[in-house]
Amino acid sequence: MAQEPNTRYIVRDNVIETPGVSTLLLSLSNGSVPKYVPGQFITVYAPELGTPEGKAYSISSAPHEKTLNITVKDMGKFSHYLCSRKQGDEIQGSLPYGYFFSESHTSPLALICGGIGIAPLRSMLQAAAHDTPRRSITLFCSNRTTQDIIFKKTLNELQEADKNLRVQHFITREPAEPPMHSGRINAKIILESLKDEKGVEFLLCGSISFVRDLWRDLRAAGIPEETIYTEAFFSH
Amino acid sequence: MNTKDQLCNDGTSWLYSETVKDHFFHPRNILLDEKNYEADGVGVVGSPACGDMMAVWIKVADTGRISECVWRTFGCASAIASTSMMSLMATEDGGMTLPRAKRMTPEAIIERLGGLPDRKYHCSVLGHLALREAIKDYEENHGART
Repeated sequence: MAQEPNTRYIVRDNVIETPGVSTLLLSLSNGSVPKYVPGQFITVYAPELGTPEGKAYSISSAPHEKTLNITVKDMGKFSHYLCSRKQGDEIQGSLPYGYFFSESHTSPLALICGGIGIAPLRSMLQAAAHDTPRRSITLFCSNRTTQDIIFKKTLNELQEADKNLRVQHFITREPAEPPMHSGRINAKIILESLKDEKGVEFLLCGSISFVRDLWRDLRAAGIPEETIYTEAFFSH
Repeated sequence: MNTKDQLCNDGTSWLYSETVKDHFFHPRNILLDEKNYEADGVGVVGSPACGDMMAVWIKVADTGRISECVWRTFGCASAIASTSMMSLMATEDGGMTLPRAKRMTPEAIIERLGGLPDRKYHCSVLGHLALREAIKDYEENHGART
């Protein structure tokens, strides 16, 4: 089974992204990383915390990068344990797994995330910039405040380097300065932004309620079920 | 939509919808003994040691559509109900094509169930992941269909 705790990762670095959010740069003990597809996750185990079941963390790095990264929001005992790991520490985990990815290499993509849901989408964006830079991609990224935007610098750099990538930020808990939007993402805004695109695939990632509400909104707007991919996590 | 339906649908309460209860008490397409079942594809996810475990077996017709989707789980009421619904969705109306079945989401299953508590969301993921594994197993042994 793909999610067995059969892999030992070494923490190569721990980078603080925003307050309470850290990226762990991992590799195997020989320095290599296992194969994966952008959008996949690893299941991390920490039996020393008294929880035998693992927890899934999306991979935020792209396959061409030197380390396999997971980006973790410190929101409980388990995630706090991960965020406090230091260079040289070992983490028990599974091999990469999951099906949150488009099987097409050409369809326009609408990547839609809330908060830490950016993690697997960063992997996709970095991989697209490296492998398929002509692919049309629009990122719709929702955060409570501008300070909460994870990978903000990377997103700006990717957008500046690739005219086929558009990034739209939505700020829900404070007024936003243009070009950022104030308020929540909804299907109307997304579809208006994509009106010139044909055959778009939608990838939603965020909290269960964020993904559920947008999935329903897109379906109500007539988007076919089979063009929407989802990845959701429990967040409260 | 009445108040109870709304509560079931917004994920915040612990109430189960009538559809969830029906599929839990009367699970569709459950396979209790796989010894004599000849599947075209098998998928197993989870682990009894780590919590829930799910197995899904599929048969694929010459048309490329899923003709049978049976399953067994070591899991909770939500896992049973959501996998029962998943098996129904995969085989109704002549059966899903494999590309379409790959695109089934937990959200679609939960919608058909009339909602699930957010804390049980992961239970609906197990069934559709096991179905993905069964399709992958089929494609590895028979070639991918488009």
